[in-house]
Amino acid sequence: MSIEDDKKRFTDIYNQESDSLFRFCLIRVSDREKALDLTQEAFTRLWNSVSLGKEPENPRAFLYVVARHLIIDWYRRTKSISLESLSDERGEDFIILDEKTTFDIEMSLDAKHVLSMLDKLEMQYREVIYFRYVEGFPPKDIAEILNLSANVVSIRISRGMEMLRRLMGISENDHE
Amino acid sequence: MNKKDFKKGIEDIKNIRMTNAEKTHMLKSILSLPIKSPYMEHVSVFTFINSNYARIAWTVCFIFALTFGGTVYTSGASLPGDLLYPIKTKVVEPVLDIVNNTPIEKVAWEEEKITRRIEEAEALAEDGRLDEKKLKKLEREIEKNSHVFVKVVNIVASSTATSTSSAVEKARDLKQEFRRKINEREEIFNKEEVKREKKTMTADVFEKSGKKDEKSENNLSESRRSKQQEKINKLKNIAIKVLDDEDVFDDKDRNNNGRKERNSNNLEDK
Repeated sequence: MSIEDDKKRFTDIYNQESDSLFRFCLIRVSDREKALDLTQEAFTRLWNSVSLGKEPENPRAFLYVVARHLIIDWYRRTKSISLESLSDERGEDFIILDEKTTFDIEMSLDAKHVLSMLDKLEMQYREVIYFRYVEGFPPKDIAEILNLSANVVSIRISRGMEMLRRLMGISENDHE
Repeated sequence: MNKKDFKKGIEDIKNIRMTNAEKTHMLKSILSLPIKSPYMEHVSVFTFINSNYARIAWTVCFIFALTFGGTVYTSGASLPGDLLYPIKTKVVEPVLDIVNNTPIEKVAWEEEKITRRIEEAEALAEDGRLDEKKLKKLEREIEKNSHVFVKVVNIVASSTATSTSSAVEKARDLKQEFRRKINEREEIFNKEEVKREKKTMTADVFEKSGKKDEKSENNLSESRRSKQQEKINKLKNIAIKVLDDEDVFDDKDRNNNGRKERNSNNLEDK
């Protein structure tokens, strides 16, 4: 396969995933420049794999896994909080929605409110809800990103939504 | 917050995007990166350690260490003209030059090198292999090493002494000590040589059972012994001469300094 074919395939993936990956990074680091850097780094790693003829089976999962690790590394480097205590409390999979996020990024009040509600959820539900309802990923993709089974993801989605409804005071029958 | 607001909030979050300029620039930057060669693929250290390449590398290193280590060890006993002698003088000794890096270690090492050359000459003389060519070579080496020895001695003396005169005295002591060692070595060699000659002579006398004249035999070995001894002494004298020359130079230097000091004192008095 020629390099032009690789470029074309990569460009397709880039056009499809770049905005959502950037959003994913921006919401977590609340710094536009940093989010752009992290997005570029994740895509660069994908491009390295593609150009070496080792394209991952699921490029989307690959990108998000890389981005999650990059964000965790970034937090470890920049935050003065004890990471050991964080790891103990939340395990390895923590992703932090920065407390200032909802105030630093330009977005509507509704959007800020949704993010602050998500932030109140337990970690295991927060991410699946974000991927399912904000990014619209199917449970299979979420399972690959979070290294879980699709069943576990489905259960977490339904339980997470239940908690979110309770938090926002919405009943299941409320159609408004 | 009702469901509608929630949905609207989600839609608003979805509107967070990169600008077109940012998107284009990023894509361009990524695609303009040099493509890594598949042959330069990163391999972790642990993968390498467990690989066949590592086993081959270890085996090669082991064989090399065994061969080279053996060669280096054997070269220690080699003499001028031997196959391994260049390894001793061109490889092992330069390494030891670097290893002995403090001035005191260097003094001991330079002494050792001169002694080694003299020992080599003695061993060659014993085997009857000390020809003119080898003698000249050893002479050059001893002269060179003696100059280095004097230099290092001066450095040690000046770094440990408190004044210039005490530095000169200290250097002189170190040189005197080395002279004494060389002379002691001469005496030992003479005694050993005499013993050896006597042994050979007795054996020869028994073997030839009086076929030859005992007196002429005695004279022959005596002249051979004295010739060898002369050669060895010549080598020792080269080292001692370098030390003596240096002492004479120091004395002249000191006299000149003393004269200068006296002159300056006189001028001040006037």
